This record gives sequence, C-alpha cells and structure tokens, in this order.
Amino acid sequence: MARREIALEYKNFIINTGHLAEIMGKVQLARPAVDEIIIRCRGAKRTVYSAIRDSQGTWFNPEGRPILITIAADYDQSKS
Amino acid sequence: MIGILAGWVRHRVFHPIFHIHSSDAAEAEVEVVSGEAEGFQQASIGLREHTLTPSQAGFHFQFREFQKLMERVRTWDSIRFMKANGEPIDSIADVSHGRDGGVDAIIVISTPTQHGSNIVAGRLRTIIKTQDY
Repeated sequence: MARREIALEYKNFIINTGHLAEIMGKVQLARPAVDEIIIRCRGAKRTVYSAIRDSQGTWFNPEGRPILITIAADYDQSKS
Repeated sequence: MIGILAGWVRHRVFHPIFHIHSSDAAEAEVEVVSGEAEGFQQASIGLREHTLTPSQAGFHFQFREFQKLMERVRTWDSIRFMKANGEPIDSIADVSHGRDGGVDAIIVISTPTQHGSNIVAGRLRTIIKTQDY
C-alpha cells in the first residue's frame, strides 16, 4: 500500500516568508513523513510565491523525499 | 329603485375590492416589517462577526473551510484525516479548538499503488486550490 501524507494549514491572513518558514519547520518536526504541504490562506506575498518557485525541489523531509508546497489563496498576489 | 340597485352594486362589487385592497396593504406592511427584521438580524450577525477577535476569526475560517473539505471528500475511501499527533478526525467536532501554531490537519492517502496516490493528491490539490467544494 502506498501512503502519502499531506499537511493542511489554515491561515486567516496574508502570509509572508516568515510564516512560510514557520510552517515548514513545524511540519517537518511534527510529521517527518509528510510529502506535501497545502496552505489555505487569505493571500500570500509575492516573495512567498518566488521563494516556493525558486526552492521547489530543494526542500526534503527527514526521510529524504522532496516536499511539495501549494498555496491556495483567496487573492492571488503573485503577479502584483 | 335606482338608489337601491346602486347600493346593492356598491355592496356586492366594490366592498370586496376595497376589502382585498386593504388586506393587500396589511400584507405589504407585514412584508415590510419582516424585511426590516431580517435586515436588522443580518446586520446584527455581521456586527457579531465583525467583533470577533483575530484568533476567533481564524478558528471560524479553519472550521468553515475544513467542514467544506470534509463534506466534499466524504465518499473518497482512500482519504482519512488525522491530527498532528496521530488521532483520527472523523467529524468536524474532533477538530481541536486551540491556539494557532500547530499543524491543523494531516491528510493521509492510502492507495494500492504510488500512481494512484499521486492522482488522488492531485485531485485534492485542485479542489483546495480552486475552492471547488
């Protein structure tokens, strides 16, 4: 049986790179086998999108598998 | 004779019309009153939501979104929800009402093949990203 863990995080505000680093750290500490993080938030700064785009594939969980990060925001500020 | 006939016509024809008009006016007044009451109720609800603290508003946001997601994927057998410490979340009542800062929920996908889990994860990601609840 294949098993895949997705961490789900809800934020009721516009997140920035500090919040992203906090979420990454706590998820890696709490669930070492997580494969993906979905952040459902009101919005995200442009720096968050650029950080995820530049670092995608370079974040690994303690078991060595890459972590995929997805932002699901109400207001897309990636192009503003 | 003509006067009697005119009185009968007034009583038989015009009186019900006037009566209907008066009842319509009463219903209209009732509708206006009920509409004002609904508006006042909605305004009070909006005021109540507006006066929530940031932590309460955050929990309401998490509660609403998580409930919609659970209803959307309720029939998917390969998905189950759990907390960060491993306790299962079977209903929305199991979501902890605590401070923000922990991992809100973990979605565990169990499928016979890795390809299947990738497909389920992609569908779930699309649902959450496009808010297709």
